[in-house]
Amino acid sequence: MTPKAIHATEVKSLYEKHGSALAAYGCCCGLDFASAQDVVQQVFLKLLEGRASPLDSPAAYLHRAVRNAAFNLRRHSRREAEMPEDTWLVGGDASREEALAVQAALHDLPEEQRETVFLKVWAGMTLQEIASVLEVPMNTVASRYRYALEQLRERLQPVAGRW
Amino acid sequence: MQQEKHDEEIERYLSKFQPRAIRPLDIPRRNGNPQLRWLAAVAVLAFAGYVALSHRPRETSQSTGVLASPAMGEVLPGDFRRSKPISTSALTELALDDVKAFDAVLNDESRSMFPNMRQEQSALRVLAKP
Repeated sequence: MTPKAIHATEVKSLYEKHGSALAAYGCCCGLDFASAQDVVQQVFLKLLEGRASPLDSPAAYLHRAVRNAAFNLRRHSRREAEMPEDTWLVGGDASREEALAVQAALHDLPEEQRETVFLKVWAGMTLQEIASVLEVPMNTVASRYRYALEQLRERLQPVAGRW
Repeated sequence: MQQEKHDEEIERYLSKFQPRAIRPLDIPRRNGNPQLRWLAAVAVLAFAGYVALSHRPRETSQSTGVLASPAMGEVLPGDFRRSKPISTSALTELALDDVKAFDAVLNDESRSMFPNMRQEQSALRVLAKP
């Protein structure tokens, strides 16, 4: 299918709305923050050049594009998903240490669970949208999400001081 | 029920954190739009064509030399006057085609270069042709 042309202002608007979450998602997929930003830029430049089209669901398309680009980058550089040393999560009230603890807890999850949690909590996607991004059945997404939350609750209990 | 409550709590806790802000989108600058670039290229080509045509050498007596001048036969040999030197090739052609005219041109040329040998006071008068 020939990509539908998308206007520059629409691309900028999508970037402002989803750019930060996409970069953090790139980190979730094993990139450092600088590489994740580069990947997101490339995805949006493709949109600007008309080489890609977000079709019906821009958020799902963009996250899928960032995911593919992140995996390609990792494959080419032959590097494993590593815990990014810089923060890609920030909290208004929370300290940097607390943000890093959340990042570390996320990183300890299996990759597919980590992605599921990110897409649900920070990208604000429904389970169905997540299923389309990860290309797995919705029931699989639901069970991954449930397992991930259980593990995160146990892991973050001392840091959060609740539950 | 209890499980759902726990899930909501951990979701709420995680939502407290936000993705770090990404740098602004770097859009590569382009020099004008493609249509304007085409228009500018066409304008430049048209101007270049106009300049080339207007400065094209015309086939005149100056460029073709002595033989191309229609009035040459009428003015030679006595009234042949040139503002520019005659080219060697033109002289050669003239020598082959019309010996008398060639002789006249050489005479005329020599008068402009050498002192007049036919003058009354000229020391070279004895050398001049009768």
